[in-house]
Amino acid sequence: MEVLPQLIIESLLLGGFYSFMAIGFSLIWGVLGILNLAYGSYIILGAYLGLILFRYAGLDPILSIPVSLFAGFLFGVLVQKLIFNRAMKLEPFMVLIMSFGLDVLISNALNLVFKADVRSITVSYGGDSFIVGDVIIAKVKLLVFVLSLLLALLLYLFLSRTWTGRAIRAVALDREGATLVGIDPAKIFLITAGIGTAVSFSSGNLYGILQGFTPFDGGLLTVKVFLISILGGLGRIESALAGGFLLAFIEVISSFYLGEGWKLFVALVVMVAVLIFKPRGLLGSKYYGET
Amino acid sequence: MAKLNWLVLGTILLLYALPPLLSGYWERVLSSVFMLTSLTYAQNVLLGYTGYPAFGAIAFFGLGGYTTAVLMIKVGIPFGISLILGGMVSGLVALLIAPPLMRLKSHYFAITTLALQIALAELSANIEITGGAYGINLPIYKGFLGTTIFYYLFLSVLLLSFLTNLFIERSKFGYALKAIREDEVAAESSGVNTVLFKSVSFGIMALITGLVGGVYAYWITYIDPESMFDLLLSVKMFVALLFGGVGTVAGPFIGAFSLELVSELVWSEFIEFHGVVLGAIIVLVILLLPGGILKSRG
Repeated sequence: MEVLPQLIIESLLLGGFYSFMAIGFSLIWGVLGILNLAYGSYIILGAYLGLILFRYAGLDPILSIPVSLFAGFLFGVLVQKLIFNRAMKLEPFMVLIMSFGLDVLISNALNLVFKADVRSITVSYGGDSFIVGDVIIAKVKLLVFVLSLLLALLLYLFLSRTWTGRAIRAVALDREGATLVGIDPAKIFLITAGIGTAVSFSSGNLYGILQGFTPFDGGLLTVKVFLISILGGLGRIESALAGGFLLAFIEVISSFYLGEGWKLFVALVVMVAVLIFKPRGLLGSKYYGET
Repeated sequence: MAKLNWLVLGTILLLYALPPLLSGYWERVLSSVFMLTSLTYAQNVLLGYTGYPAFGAIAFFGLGGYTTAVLMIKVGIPFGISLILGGMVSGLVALLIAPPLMRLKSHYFAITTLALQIALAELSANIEITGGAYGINLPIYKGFLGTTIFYYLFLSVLLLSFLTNLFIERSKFGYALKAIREDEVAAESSGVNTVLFKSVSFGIMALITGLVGGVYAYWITYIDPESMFDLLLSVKMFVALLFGGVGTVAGPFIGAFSLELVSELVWSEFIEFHGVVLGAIIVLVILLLPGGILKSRG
């Protein structure tokens, strides 16, 4: 049996989710210049929120996406107002350390509430799959893939077609210029932080159906969104897509040919090479003011 | 300022006389305090004097620790020599990778070193000689002085790292580093070989960090990728540095001592909240330090 088609399908399905998951991180980094190491924990927060809604309100994780988008937006705006707004005047490196502190805070708080057991959102259609020729496609993965791309498309339309979306891009491109044409950067920062966090929360819903999670899984997810943003380049939806699919491809291929344990190592080596030789990412252009 | 430095030196020397008065518990607490202080001093050479934040500096802690352990267990070299070799391997690797790595600045440099740290952790979890994810068991030390030897070893690395900082503060070498920190282009054009100097600074940081890792490995007798490449240790080190004062000789001592003592004494009472409190402290130290890193510059 030829295994390559299966590997390619797996990479594509995973890549769709990765891309969507990373958009929020990339957007926050690109527009606000904040490298938020707590982002992975935001995703896990979203997963627990999805779990609670599933358990106690009987809401399918797919149906609770609007709820987590809304909750994420509020959470993002709040954290931005309380913490990051004050920190943005500091050196980027200080904000990096601070966001790690936030990550420690969130993951340990989750651990206090939920304990370290592996939780998962077990939907009724969890085990189903389609068989096309030699290729097996799990229904859940396909569903997550479609939803991820759909949400990414909506976000793309928002950023390119609405006034607010264009204002976000304008601020990212040139803060002073945007201010001159009547855009209030402070407001745009809040909205962007809100949208980015909304993305992380809702991708937590999807993550929860894909696999089990514990309060401390955020760190690895942060590494992944980070890899995606570096591989693809910052801020734009297209870059996140490129990075997401590339990371998924690297992971699937290297775990098949070298072993599961090697996938992160291979991805990191590729990333370090990209950072040193092409620091703006494979698709990155000088789109954002940040250097 | 200078008076404070001599006070720190005096305190370090006094600490050599302390063990007969200490219980086993306090010996351990102080050993871990010395460990964090040495790491903070190592980082001060790089961030404080040269201006490069090696967020993943613990990569060299792990590298030194693993090299020491592998040399002892797999090659059969005595601990003392393994430890020194471990430190040297760390330092040399750092020297070699510094020229391409240090073309990156600020948080790009920070996260690339972080990537290096995670990559080394992944590597040691996957190759055979490091024992994979299971790690390496080291024999329990039973020789001269018993476990008190680790107190002296950590304290000696601390003394070494302190003297290194003192030397940098007062030497021409240190002026060159500070020139790089303030304005790399200007330093280069006034004749400082910036690539060489910043690489050496990176190497010194890695050498000390590697030595600390080596002592730590033998001290806890069991090492695995998770404990040797722990990001939390990196972050504690930076918080200690920021808290105490970046780019000063006394700052790392004050910062690391207060952070680690508070951590040990207060938080060991509230095991469950430890992580939450630590996270909150990191956030607060950054937010409430007026000017932070910038304070010691200019």
